[in-house]
Amino acid sequence: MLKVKHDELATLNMAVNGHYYRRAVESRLLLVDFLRDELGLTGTHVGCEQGICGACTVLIEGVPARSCLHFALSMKGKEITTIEGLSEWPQFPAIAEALSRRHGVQCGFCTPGIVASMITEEGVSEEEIDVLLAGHLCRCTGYVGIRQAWQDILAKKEGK
Amino acid sequence: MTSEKTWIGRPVTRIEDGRLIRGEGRFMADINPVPGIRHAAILRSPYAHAAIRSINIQEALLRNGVLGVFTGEMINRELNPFPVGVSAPVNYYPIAHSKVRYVGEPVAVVVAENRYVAEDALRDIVVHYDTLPSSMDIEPAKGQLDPSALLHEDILNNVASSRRFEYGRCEKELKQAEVVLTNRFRYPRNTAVPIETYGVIANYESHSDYYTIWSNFHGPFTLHSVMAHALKIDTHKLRLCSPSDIGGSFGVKSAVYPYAVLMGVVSKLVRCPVKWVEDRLEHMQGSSSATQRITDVTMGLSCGGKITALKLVQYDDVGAYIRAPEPATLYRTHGNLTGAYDIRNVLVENYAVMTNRVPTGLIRGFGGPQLYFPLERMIDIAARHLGIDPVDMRRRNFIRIDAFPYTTASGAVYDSGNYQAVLEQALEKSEYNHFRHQRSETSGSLRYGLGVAAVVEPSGSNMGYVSLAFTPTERMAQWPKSGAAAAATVAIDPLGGISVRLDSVPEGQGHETVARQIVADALTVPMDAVRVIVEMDTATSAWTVSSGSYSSRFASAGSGAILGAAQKVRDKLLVLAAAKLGIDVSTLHLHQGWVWQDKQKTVWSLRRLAGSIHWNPADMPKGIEAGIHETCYFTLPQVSAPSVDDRINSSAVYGFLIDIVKLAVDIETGQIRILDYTTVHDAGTLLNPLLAQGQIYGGIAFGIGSALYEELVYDNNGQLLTGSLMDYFVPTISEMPKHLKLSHHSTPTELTPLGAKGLGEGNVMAAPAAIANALSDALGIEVLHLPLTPQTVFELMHSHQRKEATRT
Amino acid sequence: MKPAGFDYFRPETLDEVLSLLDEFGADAKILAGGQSLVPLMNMRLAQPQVIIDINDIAEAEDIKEGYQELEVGALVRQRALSRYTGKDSTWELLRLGLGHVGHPQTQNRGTVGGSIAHADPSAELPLLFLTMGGEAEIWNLHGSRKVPAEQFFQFVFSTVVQPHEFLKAIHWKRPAVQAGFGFYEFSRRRGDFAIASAAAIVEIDRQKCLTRIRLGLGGVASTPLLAEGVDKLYGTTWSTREIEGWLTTVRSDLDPPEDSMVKADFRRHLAGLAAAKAFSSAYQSAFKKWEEYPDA
Repeated sequence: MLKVKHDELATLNMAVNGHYYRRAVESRLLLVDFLRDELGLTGTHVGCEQGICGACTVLIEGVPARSCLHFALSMKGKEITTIEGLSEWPQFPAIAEALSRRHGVQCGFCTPGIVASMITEEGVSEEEIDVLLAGHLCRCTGYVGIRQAWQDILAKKEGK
Repeated sequence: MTSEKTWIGRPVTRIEDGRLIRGEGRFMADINPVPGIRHAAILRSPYAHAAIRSINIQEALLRNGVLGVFTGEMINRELNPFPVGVSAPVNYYPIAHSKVRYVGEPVAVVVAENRYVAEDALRDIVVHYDTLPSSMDIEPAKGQLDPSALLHEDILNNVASSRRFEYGRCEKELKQAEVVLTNRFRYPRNTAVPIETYGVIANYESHSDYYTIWSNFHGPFTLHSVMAHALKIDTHKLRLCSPSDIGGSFGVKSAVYPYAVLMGVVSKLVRCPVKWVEDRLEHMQGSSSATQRITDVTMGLSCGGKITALKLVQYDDVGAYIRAPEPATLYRTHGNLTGAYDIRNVLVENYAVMTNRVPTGLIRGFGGPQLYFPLERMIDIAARHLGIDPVDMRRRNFIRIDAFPYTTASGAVYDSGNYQAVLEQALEKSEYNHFRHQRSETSGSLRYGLGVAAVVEPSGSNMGYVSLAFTPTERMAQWPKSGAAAAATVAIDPLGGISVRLDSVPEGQGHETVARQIVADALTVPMDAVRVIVEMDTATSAWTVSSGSYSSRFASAGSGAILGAAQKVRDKLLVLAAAKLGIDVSTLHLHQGWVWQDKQKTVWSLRRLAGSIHWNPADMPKGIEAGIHETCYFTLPQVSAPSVDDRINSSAVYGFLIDIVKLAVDIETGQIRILDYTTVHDAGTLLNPLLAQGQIYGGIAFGIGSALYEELVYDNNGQLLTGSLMDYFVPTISEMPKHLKLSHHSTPTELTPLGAKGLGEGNVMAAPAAIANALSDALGIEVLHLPLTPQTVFELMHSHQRKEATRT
Repeated sequence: MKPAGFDYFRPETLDEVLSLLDEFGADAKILAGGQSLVPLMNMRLAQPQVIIDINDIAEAEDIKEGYQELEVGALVRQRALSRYTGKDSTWELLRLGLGHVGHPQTQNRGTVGGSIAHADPSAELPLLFLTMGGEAEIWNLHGSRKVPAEQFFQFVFSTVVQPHEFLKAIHWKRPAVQAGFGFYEFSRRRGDFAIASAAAIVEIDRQKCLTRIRLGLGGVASTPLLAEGVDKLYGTTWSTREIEGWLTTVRSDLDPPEDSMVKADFRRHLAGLAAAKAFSSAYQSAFKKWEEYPDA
């Protein structure tokens, strides 16, 4: 059983974007702060630290989740994927192209989180797109361009 | 001339997107521009109004990892109060000492090895408060307030500023009018909620007394001098930097400036660079918000529906301190108070009232929603009263097309427009007449309503309008203020690389892309030959007081500066080419990156010419400098200082839009669903239709939020009840209407070089009014306040039922 | 907004979990999905001294379906249950209710047991548990007990699970084959907590007489509530007057909380509407089942 006192550092091994990292962390360190401050992966953004805004969404074991609502230490041995890793995925260029063509990006602060949801949810319907997108706040675009981009990708998949 | 394929006006996709989608944007929290940065956390007041009896920081200082703990008293000793925009004696500091005036006001700052430890230490600080009665009313008390309820000594009834303006003979016309209607409207306190919060890094250098402060501040840079004054330094000692990426602002980040000063002093006291990244709870409590406003509107009309006089009494709640640039919310729309209508007799009384709430400032629409909600509601109320269709009511009062340029009663010069044509286009696009007939249909508990709003959208604010808060006599004692200037620099390096540096400090609007379009067109090069630098640095960028991103000023002012700088470069290159070729410059032009003489390509490319300036400066013709780094400061001469009779052209140019909303309201649940939203804009020439569309969609979402969901709710004790994103409801995709129609009608302005006007704020001004009009139409009850939550709708119907019951 | 420090334990067996709970009791908090707990910790509204992370407890990960019940272990994610219940109309009420729980991104991590143990009176899962019935399987170092859903919730954020105890699984009672289901919720936006919500199970017999009714209400009291007075409707066929009379009593008996957004009378009104809508959908779905499978 792993035991870490509040004033101790524990060794954390974690796979992030296919790289193995070993760091000493406090038990209370949030996953998002670990990714940003310890690993320098600043593409994951902090917007609310309450799990509402979705800006910090990353993949935990391949599914989108809020990195502000997890302790880094609790992710020991898990595989995490951030936008820096997602942008190397084969599906990424089509998503990036659609978001740009549909002007689904303005300030870009919420975008990496949205990409994490877009890239993993296979075969979604138009209704499901809205359900998934409702888990991300964007204050710039009115969501119109993002929804259109996501629908374009769905249409392409269905076309195949 | 050879015809050029131009980029301006085309829906070019953005260059910003590449880095942002990959997570390679560089936002405030991401950067660490100097080594040795430590982290700050702020202790904030839990009370709305209280005297600070004592603060004990001993425990906090002893905590492992803490570098320093500073109280308001220790910090403010280093500072002057910030200059404010009124003559009332308000001493505004970035942190409280002796007394707190709103929940969330900073009380002490901890600097520690990391944010976690800094927050731990906040819990170690012990503050004793003596609470005081909170003052939450916006309308000034009729009698004299108890001294304990005064926010600031010597400011009677908490009124920071009041002024009265009469244009024409309003009082007289109101007495003589065939119909006089009066209503009181309330526009709520709401805020911008960018997904990125405030961030500041401050580095004080003791040897020179220099402050370098990085933040997501985006202007107006008038505040640079306000900050330097507070820091008690000469302005050249304050260097403000903003990163290339800012995660949205919608105005609210202009109010990061007190925190920039706060962290500046903390850096000085703790002797190391300090970083503070605001968290969401801090943002909701302690950043900034829109003013909430009560407006008493009195409208005089003829029986035929012609408006003869308009009286507005406006009470703005500016929060605990009237922070610069307030009371600007009251004056930003001063020139266009009469909206799209030809009304010559106008009376305005303005009151800026201080309450125990967070100080206010820029929020997208700034003054517009506060004005147009009552004005456009009043048009509908008058129409219903007179039995006129609301659309006809607007037609009868619109400024006629042959009246442009039109000078309003309060002094705005509406440069161009065709309001009738935009209206007709919107009616057609929205199938207004078709819906009009369906309107009376009901389906179960659903009622349908149709609402219109007409908005004159000001862009490019006149730096002089805020001085209307002073009387003409007071203004005479000051230097006059005017203008809406912007700056840009275009440079070419020794091998022909082109760069353009802006002063617009964008936070998502896509200025890099548009700047590239403008420069590529002017220099006839491919777009990817142009690099755009948007990082702001007051030590190295060209800037002026009005620089920054606000008042939709990029299209109206910023684009002119970029074009001007590019044209200076082009002209310099052509003069040089003419000298080299020994021919008259008037026969030369650029085409595809080469100098052409009429239809003949010369031996000089842009790249070679620029190279010759750098590599062979000894061979320059007389009068041409050895370098190619040209700055243009662009302003519009029409944007002049207020006149002695208090008239002001408060903005550079004025666009126009019509919004038409069809909605369904469930009278059982009070829930509103927007079925169809149409907007037609006239913003002159569109620089990039794709980006214009993005601004409009975003504006509609913002406006829907203000109309239906968003309010910073305080209780009577001044406690904020909506301090997180769990209870301050920002619209998600589910709240956006599926049917959105937008189109444009272009009446280019002659005032801006590209014919463009701003359009990013119009829908924020129009949507609340249009939605409220549609709800009033659906229920047959006049809506007088926002947001239209289910609770509000429920109460509206019940109070109406009670009224009906007493009537029968 | 950073959490205060805590001692972190990551047990690998149920026994270890129970020993830790026995040792630390009220000073400890169980961490499963963290979707309710971590926001509170980030805001320092919760500052547990000890965190017991149960994410390695393999035996809490399973969904087991039996004749009488669906056993959902403490680590089962809401999204997993949502996917599971999508396959089979038996668990349709769960599926309907789960559609309102947060967002897919929080459901991917948030656990069913965690939400029920958290006992937010406006959350969907507590309401579903009370309405569907079943048992909470609660363990301590000395053994286990099962507590019926009706006795589980005590107050806002408070249940019968004691500080030294562990909610190991929820046993959802299998509804009758011919039962009809209804779920209705008023919230400001999709995924928000309910202003008022209702879940209903209705069973009717061959003669279309009501034989069993479960009507649960959320967001209207310090715990989810079960509507009373249902038995007097048993044996009768649908009568709008009778049912409206009953629903009026249900509604007027409520004493709902009031906040800055929603006044008590409006919440009561919405709860009445939600109850009527959920009940009527449940009745209709039961009716339809008889029409479709008259021999069931």
